[in-house]
Amino acid sequence: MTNFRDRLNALLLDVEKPARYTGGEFNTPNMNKPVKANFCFCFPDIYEIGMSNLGLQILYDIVNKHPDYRAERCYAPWVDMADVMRKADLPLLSLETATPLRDFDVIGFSVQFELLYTNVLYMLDLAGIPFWSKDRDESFPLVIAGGPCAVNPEPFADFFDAIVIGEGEEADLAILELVAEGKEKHWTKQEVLARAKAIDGVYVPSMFEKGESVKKAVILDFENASYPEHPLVPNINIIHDRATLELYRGCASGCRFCQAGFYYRPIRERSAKRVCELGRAILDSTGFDEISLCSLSTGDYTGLSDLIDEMTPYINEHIVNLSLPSLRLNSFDSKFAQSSRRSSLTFAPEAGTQRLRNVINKNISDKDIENIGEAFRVGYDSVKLYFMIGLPTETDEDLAGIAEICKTLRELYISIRHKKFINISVSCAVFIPKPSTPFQWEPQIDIPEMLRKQSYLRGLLRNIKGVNFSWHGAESSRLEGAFARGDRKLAKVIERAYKSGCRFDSWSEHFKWDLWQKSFEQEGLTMDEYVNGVPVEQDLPWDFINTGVDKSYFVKERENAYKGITTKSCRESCNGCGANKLGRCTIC
Amino acid sequence: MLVLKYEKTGATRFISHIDILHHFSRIMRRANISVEFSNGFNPHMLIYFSPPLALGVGSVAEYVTTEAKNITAEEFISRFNVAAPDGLQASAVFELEKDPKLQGIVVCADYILPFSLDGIELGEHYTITYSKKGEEVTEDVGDKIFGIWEKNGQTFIRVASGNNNLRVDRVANQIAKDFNKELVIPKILKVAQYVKIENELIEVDEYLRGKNKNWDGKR
Repeated sequence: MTNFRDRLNALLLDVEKPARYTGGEFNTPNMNKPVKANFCFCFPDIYEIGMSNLGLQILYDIVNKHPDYRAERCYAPWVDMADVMRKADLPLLSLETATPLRDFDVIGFSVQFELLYTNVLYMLDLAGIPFWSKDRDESFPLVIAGGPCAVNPEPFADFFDAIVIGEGEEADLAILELVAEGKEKHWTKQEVLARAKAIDGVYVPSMFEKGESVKKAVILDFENASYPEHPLVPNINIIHDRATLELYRGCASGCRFCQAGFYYRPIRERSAKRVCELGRAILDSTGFDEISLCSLSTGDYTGLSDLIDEMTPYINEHIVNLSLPSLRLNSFDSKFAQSSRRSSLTFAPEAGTQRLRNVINKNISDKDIENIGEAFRVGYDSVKLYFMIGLPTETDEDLAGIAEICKTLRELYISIRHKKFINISVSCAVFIPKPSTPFQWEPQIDIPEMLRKQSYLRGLLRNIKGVNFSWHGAESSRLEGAFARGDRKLAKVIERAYKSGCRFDSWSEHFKWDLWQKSFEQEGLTMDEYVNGVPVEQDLPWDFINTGVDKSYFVKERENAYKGITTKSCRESCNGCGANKLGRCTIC
Repeated sequence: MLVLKYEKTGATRFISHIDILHHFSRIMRRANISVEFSNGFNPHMLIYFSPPLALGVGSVAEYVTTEAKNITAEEFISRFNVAAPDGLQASAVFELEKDPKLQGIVVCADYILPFSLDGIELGEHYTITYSKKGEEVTEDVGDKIFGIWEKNGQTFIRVASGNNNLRVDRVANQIAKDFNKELVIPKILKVAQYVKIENELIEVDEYLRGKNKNWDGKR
């Protein structure tokens, strides 16, 4: 047998950051236990990004905790590593035991983002595994996928044997159970898949019949759901290099552009007591010096105040930094700001005027923005603001509103702090209509309009001192838009683009717009047909997925958007979206 | 002050010096060893290393110095080893009055090279060529090579380390090229470091033991 570890080690000094490829992280579970089935989690981006993904850590932990199964990991090798691996004829290996991916029973891709689709093929290619489900015989592992993009899995459906829609904690184990049984009883892949179809949340594209629907998998007992108390400690500095505590799933805000806000319903909170216990256990077992709270809107978490009070003694004793990401403006409270040693605050007003914020249901008022003064009072000198351009009904007046917010903040800062050195960074994404939102039928603005809006805004912001403006690429936003609402025809485009040289599309230095355009063309398709507006009556590629939220609710929300009528937070009263059919909202 | 002697083997050979720093800070936290912190806006642990190792090269003779509170040397090493990953395990601990500042006083180190000494002759002005930031550099390193010899069938080389440093991977590459040897850098292993006292080289373990008369140095 070839020693893959030695062959790998011989290549490592020819590449950047070799510790991306070695495994051996502290808290790695026992890899020597005898198991009935093994699983390799594949993340189609580099180590630093994949290791920062909470979902993957949760699933990895659950599989390894099970006495009968073992999970390993594989991240996309950076392009330098792929080159030397190809030269050395070394296949893609798991980190833990340096086992070729094709020798696993199951390999599962976490698909986080539309611009990672080519990287799935890049990894399969390096692993020597055929791209199309139909081309893989019994000698290949079961190749499955999950993650946020499964909300519309159609563009990549034909690559996978099965796709987990929704939360994977229970579905992944159920699939492994079937695979283990199948190994024992010599079932074919088809026999395994036919049974897998019955698991909640499992979509088997090759066996799907018109008129069927797939119900999103939801963890009902979120309070007690398994959570990694001994997460892996990364070898090298990663993007989110800290302990992460998940507070709740779902979101009460109902921002009309936000896919996660609807897709992860019903809202299920974890008690402050349990979060705090998890926090201590994780800090003790990892030695991280920073802990962050994770949810879609941390400021709205019912137990936030209790949690901070309870964590504070431990945090002070062990010199740990507590960071609070994604605070919504109206939930800002100086108490929370003070418990963090950060010097920068992050807020997402998303739109520049009250009118447009009402359209998108971002329930933040101008008065809330003035509330940032509290942060200046306790010592913050720097504010990060997130906005979108190209939102439905947006006019230049709304863009000008972004500049007005910056001016207001600067004046507020000067009046409170009596100095002028405020740092405001404004980051503007391009609105992408996403499935499972009230805006799923909306058109996306075209590229010339994106560029015009960006340059108009840049002109306005240039005149305000201390403002730093950054924006998302127009072309990559277009592509993301096309894939977000794509159908099965796009798989061939993805394959064509990969074969012509596209990978790491989310890295601007590797994004090849001309190759993408050509790939669409050669398949007889255009991006436009996927980003144009869609009549509400028309069938959508993802209609077969039951996310719990009724389509009629999205229609109603969209009508309200055009009337500028806001919908109040689910915390005030139930808006009847339908998600509680899948499980009770814990805040009702 | 406690000086810990540790290895850097296995997967940890591929972790850069700057990332190793994070690892130590996390190991100390996991081991619940309280170490002194700096007093800045972002307090960090005060830990001091011997000269950094070239990426990919292994070692069984790395040193780190720290001021740990309320802990005996014995407890320190045993708690450290439970909290440290494979490949960063400690083999000895020395208790000293003051930080020995190894980074500044180490002058050379011994490495085992993974090829036989047969046919190798370096001469007084041995010259190596390597690329540095994309540029080719040629350097006479004769005065930075303190010796090359064979012992128990293994090839040892002693090269300058610390402030006046010679990277062993660079010299080993040149030797492999000049004398037709097969070389895998990660198989190079550092086995000892030396300080210079009154013109005499003293192995670091011995030096640290000498700093504390009550210490037998063996664990």
